[in-house]
Amino acid sequence: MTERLRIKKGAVEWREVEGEVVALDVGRSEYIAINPSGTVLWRELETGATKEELVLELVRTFDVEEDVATRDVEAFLRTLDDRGLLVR
Amino acid sequence: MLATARALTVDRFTSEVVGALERDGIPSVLLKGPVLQQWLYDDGAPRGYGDADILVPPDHVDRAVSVLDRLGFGDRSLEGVPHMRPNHARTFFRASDGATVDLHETIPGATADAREVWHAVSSSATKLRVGGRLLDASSRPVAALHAALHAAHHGVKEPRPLEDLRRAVARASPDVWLEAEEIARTIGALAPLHVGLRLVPEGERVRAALRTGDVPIDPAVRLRATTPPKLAEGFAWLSTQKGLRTKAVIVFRRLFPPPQFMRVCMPVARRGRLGLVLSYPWRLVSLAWHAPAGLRAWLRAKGQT
Repeated sequence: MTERLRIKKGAVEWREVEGEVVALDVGRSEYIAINPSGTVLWRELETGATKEELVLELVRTFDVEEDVATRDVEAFLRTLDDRGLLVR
Repeated sequence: MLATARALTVDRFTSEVVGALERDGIPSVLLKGPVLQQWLYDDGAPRGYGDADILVPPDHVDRAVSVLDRLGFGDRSLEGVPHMRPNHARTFFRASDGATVDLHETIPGATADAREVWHAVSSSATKLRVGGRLLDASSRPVAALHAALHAAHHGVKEPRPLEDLRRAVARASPDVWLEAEEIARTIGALAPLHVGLRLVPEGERVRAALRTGDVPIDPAVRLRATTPPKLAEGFAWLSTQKGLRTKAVIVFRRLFPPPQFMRVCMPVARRGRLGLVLSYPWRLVSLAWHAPAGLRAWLRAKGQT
């Protein structure tokens, strides 16, 4: 069974401006600027999504190959995980 | 991007300050910044802000100042300096993280007693999530009114308040503006409401639909709306003071203000004793340079009455 992932509540303050997310990592007091493809993933992760759903969303939005989208999603999730911003 | 990042930081310390006020039993209402951002900029357009504007009841101001002091904020206002023009807020700054709080006892343009202002703003306050906390924030009518008053306060040459007002005019329903007008009447701010609405083309339609017809406009309000040159408002304020002796004392104090004033207003005065001494002749030169344009602007505004 694929696990659902979501952004950890209270770990970040964020805002979407001109199609891109700017987030404040509250624990580290660091800003994260997220590009448009990351922003698509961020929106999904706010409500909770599986890795497969994230890949599908990228493919649908940006019309990229599935393996490219999978690499991007994995890299994005790894970044969030390293910062402790993901819950499963 | 940087403005948004800064705004997120402001949200964090706003939440911290309001939480600390709450724990000490001090009610507060959040003004401007996130209130306008969440209401008027939800289309994703950037709207940054650099400080937290927090209104507290006038009889709780001293306790609120103690709370800010405990949180590491220092008073950057000119409160306590004699013969200064009264301000609607006191600015507090925390050097460790650059956090800035404007502690409001009233709002710009309101002429009623601060208790009336607190009652009008707090009685209609709504909840808003800011920095991870639900805070009391100004209602839509108060926010719309504040947008107009803020535009009138900063005048026609300040783009951000004008953009706020343009958006408020486009977004708020006629009922919201009628409610804003009632609040303006209660807090003695009808004149700057009318002046503010005249500063944006779309505002004239809203102004024309208000219940009050033309209201008399004080020259000082008219002056502010022009974004006047330096000293112009000082001349306007001086003209409202009674008695030649009082005026002479104010002029003397403006020429030679106490060190507290100099340190707040002139960076060079913060550089030791020599810096403080040098700041006085520099101030005289600056005043002499700006006075003619300021006086002309004031006389022009006065002549339009």
